[in-house]
Amino acid sequence: MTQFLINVLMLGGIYGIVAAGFSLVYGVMNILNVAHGAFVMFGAYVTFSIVSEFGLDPLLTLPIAAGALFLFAFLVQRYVLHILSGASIFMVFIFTFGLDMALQNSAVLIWSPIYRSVPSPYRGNVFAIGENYVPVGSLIVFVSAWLLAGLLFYLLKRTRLGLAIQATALDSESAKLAGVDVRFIYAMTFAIAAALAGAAGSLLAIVVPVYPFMGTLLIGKAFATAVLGGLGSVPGALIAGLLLALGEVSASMLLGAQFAQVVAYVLLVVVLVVRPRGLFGREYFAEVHV
Amino acid sequence: MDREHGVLKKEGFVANAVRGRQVGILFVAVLLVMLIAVPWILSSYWSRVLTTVLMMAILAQAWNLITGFVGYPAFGNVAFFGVGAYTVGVISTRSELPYVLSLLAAGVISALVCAVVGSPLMRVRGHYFAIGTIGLAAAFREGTYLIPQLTTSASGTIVLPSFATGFLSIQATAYYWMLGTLLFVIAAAVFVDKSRFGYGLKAIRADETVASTFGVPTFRYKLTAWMVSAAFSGIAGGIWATWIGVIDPANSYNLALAVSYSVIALVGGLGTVLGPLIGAALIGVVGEVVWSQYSTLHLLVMGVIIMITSIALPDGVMGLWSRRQEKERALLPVKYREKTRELEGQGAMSPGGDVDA
Repeated sequence: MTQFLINVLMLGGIYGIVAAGFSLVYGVMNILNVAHGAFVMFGAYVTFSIVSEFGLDPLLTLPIAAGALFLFAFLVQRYVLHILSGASIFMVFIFTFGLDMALQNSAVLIWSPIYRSVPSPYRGNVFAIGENYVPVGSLIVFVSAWLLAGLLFYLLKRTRLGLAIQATALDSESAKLAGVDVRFIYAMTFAIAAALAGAAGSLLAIVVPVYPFMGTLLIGKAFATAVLGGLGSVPGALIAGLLLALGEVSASMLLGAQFAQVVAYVLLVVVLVVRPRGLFGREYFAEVHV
Repeated sequence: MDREHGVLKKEGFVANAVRGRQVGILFVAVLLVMLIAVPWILSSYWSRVLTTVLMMAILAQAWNLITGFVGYPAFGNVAFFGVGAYTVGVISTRSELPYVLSLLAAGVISALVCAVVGSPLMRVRGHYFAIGTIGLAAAFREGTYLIPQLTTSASGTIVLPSFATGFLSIQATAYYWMLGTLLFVIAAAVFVDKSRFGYGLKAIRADETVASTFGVPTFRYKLTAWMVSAAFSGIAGGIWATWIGVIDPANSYNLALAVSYSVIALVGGLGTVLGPLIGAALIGVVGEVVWSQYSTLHLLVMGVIIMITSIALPDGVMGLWSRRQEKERALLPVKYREKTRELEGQGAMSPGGDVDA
């Protein structure tokens, strides 16, 4: 039972912070960033490279992975993606698909397509709570993921930058009138989301193998999570991440592991049909015109 | 005098249009003959490349029917490609049905699946619809693994019997099936472009609420358009399944294919009949050149090309054309005034006289 709970909370935390970034970008810029999964993958590879080169503790590489992705995404948004503002959603969508392809295949070139695992000091370590054994790696991942979620909340709710991001999401024209540098906020939002993705990748590298196409699976989960929580809603994404993890872990325990992968997609289609705005999304978000 | 000028101008215009149409028909006829001759003249390598181009043209045109004309971005249309592939796979391994009928079955079943899952999905628009269709394709992919009865061997795989005859190789047969299907899907697109049904769809694209106010049966129209789109995607999937011979959920419900046909339609220009065809030819050839030159960098380079195109050609190749037309049209009043002045200067027109053009 403890193992079940730890798995749900760990997976839920990872899904939550990946989907929160994805949802934040959608809410502020109206962009569905397909390359978000590739950002996670790059974060995982940054950790892998540093740990295997310098033998650092994987957790210490988390800020480096997050920082690298932050910088990369800031530059991409500020100097490339920005040109596409005002273009049709198709074009932006396709652009991020292209970015995803380019990132994944550069990872293949740099690190080769084989599965790699990060030599982690936590692997195999367990400690006992009563009669149950809990893997230390999972516990660290789960605690860090939720700390990051808390950090994102603090940033959005308590800082000037967060308020500016919220104002831009609400109405970019009015935000401009109130003195917000909207272009800078766009780049910052994109970068913050990517930094979260990089951090999530760094954490994932502690518990699962790293490979160039690991983002594809995650972006599907992020879609499902973000829609379930309501596109654009950060708390929604975090709660939906937990729900999705609960669904997947229960499905693989009750029905078999192969059913775990279907849960996300079935959930996605059902939510879209029954309640398109998700659990916490606002109604007009579904009325995006093409 | 002035009336004569207008009439003359009109006649010249009509003559130009007639000549333009004749040139067009001639061009299409020559192209068609060349396309029919391909398996006999070109090497099997190029005929394979062109079969893929034809398949992508079918998929892009089918996608264009729902996305370009109705404005519903059905990125996950590859779901129906997979349904078609599996329909043909199951039929051809379990029965002796003629191939045409199994292809028709692929089309009908894809359309029916589209009607069942599509009618609830059509309630959402924009990004939500796009995500929903992607979820659909992914759910079908993962779901296929869970139905072992469908498959002939392990993990969702079906090995299909070949459709080669004594007369034509597998390659040539697949090529002609794709070419034939492409002609049908082009006919469907031309019909949609010109018909009352098509105007209804375009009205939905412009503004669904207004369209329904003006009496367009929006739900029936857009679902019909999507079912036609699904049927053609399914038929293409069926031909493809027999062509490559082995299908599994990963290659049948392949989202990379979804990216390809959307990029093709977008590069060519959405909502036009010619756009997806031009896009398929361009991307097919560019992709092939890139692949043969840099086989290891292929997907990386394609990704970069996709990014550059989305920035440089936001309305596709057809967008360039319509933009030029618009510019010319915007200049028409100026040209008209200049011409009038010129004629006035020559004393050919009575001062203040107006021409009805």
